[in-house]
Amino acid sequence: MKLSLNWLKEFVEINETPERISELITMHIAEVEGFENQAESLKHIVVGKVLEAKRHPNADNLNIGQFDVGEDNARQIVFGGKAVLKAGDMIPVALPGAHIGEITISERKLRNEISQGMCCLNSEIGILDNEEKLHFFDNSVTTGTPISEVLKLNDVIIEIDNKTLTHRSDLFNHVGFAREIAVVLQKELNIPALLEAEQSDEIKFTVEVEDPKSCPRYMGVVLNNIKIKSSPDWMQARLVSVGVRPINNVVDITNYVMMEYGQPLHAFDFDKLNGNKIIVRRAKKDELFVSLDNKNHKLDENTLVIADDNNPTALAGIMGGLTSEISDKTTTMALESANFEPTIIRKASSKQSLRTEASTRHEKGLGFIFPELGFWRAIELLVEHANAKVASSIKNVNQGRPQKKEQSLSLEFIERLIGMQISREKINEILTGLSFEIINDQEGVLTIEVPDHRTDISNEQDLIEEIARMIGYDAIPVTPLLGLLEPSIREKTTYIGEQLIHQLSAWGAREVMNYSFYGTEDVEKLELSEEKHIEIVNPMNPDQQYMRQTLLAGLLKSIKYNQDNQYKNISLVEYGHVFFPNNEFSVVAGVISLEDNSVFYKAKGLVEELLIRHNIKVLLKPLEDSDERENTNYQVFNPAADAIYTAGKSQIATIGLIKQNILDKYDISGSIAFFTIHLPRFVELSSKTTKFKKINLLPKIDLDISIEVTKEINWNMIQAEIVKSAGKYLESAELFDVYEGDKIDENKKSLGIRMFFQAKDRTLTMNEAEKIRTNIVDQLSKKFNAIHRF
Amino acid sequence: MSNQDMDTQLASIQEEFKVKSSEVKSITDVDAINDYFFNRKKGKLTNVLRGLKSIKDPAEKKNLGKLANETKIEILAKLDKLALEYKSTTAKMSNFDVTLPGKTPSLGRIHPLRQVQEELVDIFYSMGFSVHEGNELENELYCFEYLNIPATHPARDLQDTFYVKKYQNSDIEEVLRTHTSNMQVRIMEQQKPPLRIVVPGRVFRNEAIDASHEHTFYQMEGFVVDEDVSISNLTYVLKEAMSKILQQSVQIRLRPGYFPYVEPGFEADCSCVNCDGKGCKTCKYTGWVEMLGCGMIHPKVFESAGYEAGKYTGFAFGIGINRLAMLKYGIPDIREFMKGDLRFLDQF
Repeated sequence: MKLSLNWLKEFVEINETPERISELITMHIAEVEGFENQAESLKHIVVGKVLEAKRHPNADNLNIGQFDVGEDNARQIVFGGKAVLKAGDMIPVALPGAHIGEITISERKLRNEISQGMCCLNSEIGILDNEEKLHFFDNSVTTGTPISEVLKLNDVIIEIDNKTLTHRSDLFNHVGFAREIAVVLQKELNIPALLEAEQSDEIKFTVEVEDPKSCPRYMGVVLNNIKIKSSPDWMQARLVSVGVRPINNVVDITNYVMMEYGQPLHAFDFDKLNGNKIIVRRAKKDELFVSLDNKNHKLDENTLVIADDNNPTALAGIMGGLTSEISDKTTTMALESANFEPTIIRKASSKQSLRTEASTRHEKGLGFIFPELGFWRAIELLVEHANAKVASSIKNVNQGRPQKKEQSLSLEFIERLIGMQISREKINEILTGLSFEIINDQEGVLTIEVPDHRTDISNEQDLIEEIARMIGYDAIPVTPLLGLLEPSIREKTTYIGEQLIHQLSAWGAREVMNYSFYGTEDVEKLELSEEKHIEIVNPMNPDQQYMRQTLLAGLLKSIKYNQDNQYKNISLVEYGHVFFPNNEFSVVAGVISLEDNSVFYKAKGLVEELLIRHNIKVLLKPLEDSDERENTNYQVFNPAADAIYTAGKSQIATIGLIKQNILDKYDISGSIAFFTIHLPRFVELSSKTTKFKKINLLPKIDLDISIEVTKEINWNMIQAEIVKSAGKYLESAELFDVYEGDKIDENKKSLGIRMFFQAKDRTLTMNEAEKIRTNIVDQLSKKFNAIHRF
Repeated sequence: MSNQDMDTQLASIQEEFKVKSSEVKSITDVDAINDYFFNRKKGKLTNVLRGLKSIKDPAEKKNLGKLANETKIEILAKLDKLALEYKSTTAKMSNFDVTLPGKTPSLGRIHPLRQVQEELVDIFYSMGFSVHEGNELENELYCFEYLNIPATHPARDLQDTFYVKKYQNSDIEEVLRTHTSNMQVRIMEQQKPPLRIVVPGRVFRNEAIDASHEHTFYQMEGFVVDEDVSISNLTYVLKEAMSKILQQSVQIRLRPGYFPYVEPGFEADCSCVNCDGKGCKTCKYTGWVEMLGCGMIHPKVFESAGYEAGKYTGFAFGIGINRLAMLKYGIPDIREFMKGDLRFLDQF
């Protein structure tokens, strides 16, 4: 919202610089986004007199003129074809150094002709009616006079951020701000008293409010004898300066009063209303309405309209209708000044995509007093500037003035909440300055009567805010926080999740953050089931329709994105929430890409190392041997290369190679291993602490074997057999090499195994160790037809 | 060989060693001297020692033997010392290129939003705040209603908030949380004051994305509840925390702001770290940078939590982690965070 400093000065004395007053408003009332000093922005724009004008020799749509701008020599200026100029015309001329929008005027050549300035349209420099036309000054004006001086444009326009006024319907106007500024500057507030107009019975006029809940107050009157013309220059200038386009005296007055007192008004051409009547009612379903801006609207029962006997003639509190618009021919008008229920206005305005100055104010809820302020002020101005005469009785339909709100305020609580002591005098000064009335003061508790325009005050803290902000938040001291010192805690799943991400990143993974949604396309690509997903009612787009149940979709897309940028063999991990009906939990998941399927073991190594570091003992099972084999979320794995880690009944993690057809659908090259760790379960099991084991200092003997077995014999089976046949002296058996290839049978693999032997109570001899090894080899060959090679 | 000869020879060997050892330039020279005197076949000292056998007189043999042995030990000791010296300092492997690139471990990275979030959490944790994350899918009671954001409030429109389709029989709508303030009442219900809490986490707004808007971003809610918590304490906590994260002492300026779940509500500005509050382009010549929204917890919120009216006071604040990260690292476009682009992520 824009505020005119000159306008504010009508109500309160302000001697501060624009910078200072802007800062004070920001610190005590609402955020100032910036201000515009009119004289400053019109600098170097002066009155110029045309001495001579002719066509530009090299351009059909350009002219050249000689201008007297109050200097010794005339200036040559090239100007557009739109301006029809003749010798003697006095117009605004921008000289070098002037700013027109983003452009700084300088002397330059246009089609080979020198131009030493620019002729300015009203719209180009934002003056008067702001139209695309040229303003002609009176001949008596001295050439070279700054136009800001001639037009008396010496105002400062302050732009307020509406966001900070959300709860303050009383501040969308100049009187409201003046009231606050008066308190900040400790000055008198001078609001002229408004006179109630005399009514008349010349014209019969009725107002019917069918839905008093949606329209608690409706004031209306008919005025006749109207002479439509332009509003006075000063009024037009004010309106333009706060961003309102002048139209004619009647419409300008309604807008002027809204900017001054905050009450939106509407003027109807009374002769266009059927039945001398105004009805405030709900629209009928599919009722049609054409608004002032010539747009068609289809209405419904949730919209409040102002209607005559037949049709809606305005969308209540939003915009008037085309049929009853004030025109040059209007002689009789009906004036409306009303309160509407905020929600119904907001919903209708949003539904019809019509946001207006009026709806902005109504949807915040104006106090009961507003309609009468706007009403009397408008009649006063209409009589003065539109020749109007009150021609009907004055209608004021309402359920009675609401009872004044009273709020208690404890002096002790003020100090407790603000953190400093504030004197009684100061409290009185601020509250009465803001029109609150202290009606009782007993034992440190004040009873405050809330003025009618303050619809936002509903508790003690609201009043304390008034006191604190007027004193200035910067006057409040900085005091350390005191209190009981208890050990703080961290939510464990988040904390351990973060630890896992750190650990994985130390091993080379990069952390990504992907959206919590995916769409039908991903559900299809991953062969998931749509109906089990939680669905967004209003997604940004169909790609973000479902809440994710796996981080895989996002991670695969990240792999694809980076493969396209020549990144190969990368590991990506993510911490995130997954969503199932009534079950949201966090996971840590990762994808690892390599050229071949050995990537599975890389993923496996990472997951198992994380489990070991957190002391979690698990069992590894192929998915098809687990209860989860039917789970669609696990169908993404190649069935030959997937596994699940369980501890008791708890499934902690899954890993596997992603199926080739899925990789094809995402256009990913190479092999991808994916793992997911269920964090709440991981955390639950990770709480056990490590137990120290005594270190065996006796010598260790290491012996290798190399065996050839058929491919279906897996390492788990061989390891189990080694442990079984070795007896108590085997300390560990590690696989150090697996070979499959040309040098051996096609259906066989060769394994290199290193075993460590150690006794707990004495030095084991080489002889004993070798004996054990022989036994192991015998058993392996018996069980698995293993061939031992040396 | 006469005894006299042997004596002279030992002396000349000592002399010769002195000269040779002074000329040593590398370990190869040390090895050459060693070979010159001690070669098993033709070493100069080896020969002398071999000659001892031919001495008949036992006394003389003993005498000369002792002398020869002492010479041997002395030279060997000196050689060892020389060898050690040249091995450790000047033993250069020829053509070793130290300018070749080092072998970097495979690069892992923590997302910049997490880095900033963890930094914030560490600061508040050190000030006695507990850390909670909470759920991202939340019902409208905790996200709005209990926070004094009634059904008629614009924030609850479909164009601002993501709603989810009902999957259970309930009158209560579920939404993707629009702020981590959803945890305020949840935590107040479970714990009694004094409370010092921060809630970092993911939040969602249904708005079109551009360089400065994202529908998914990270926020850190913080709140303190006790019997006498004041505006003056809020300024203190913000001043301390901001000074830590920005790594210099900053000033905090509160000014009027509006959020339904606080009263009074503030916008908190931080003195510009770029110009120390003197005024520069970053702070638009005001000396202040808009930092966060905050305020004193609204009595309605305490009422929602079932706290006795008037017993407690508290403050709450919300820090935009994306915004802070953009400020800290100079990132111009908020969309970078969720792209998964390694050219971006590898920079942090």
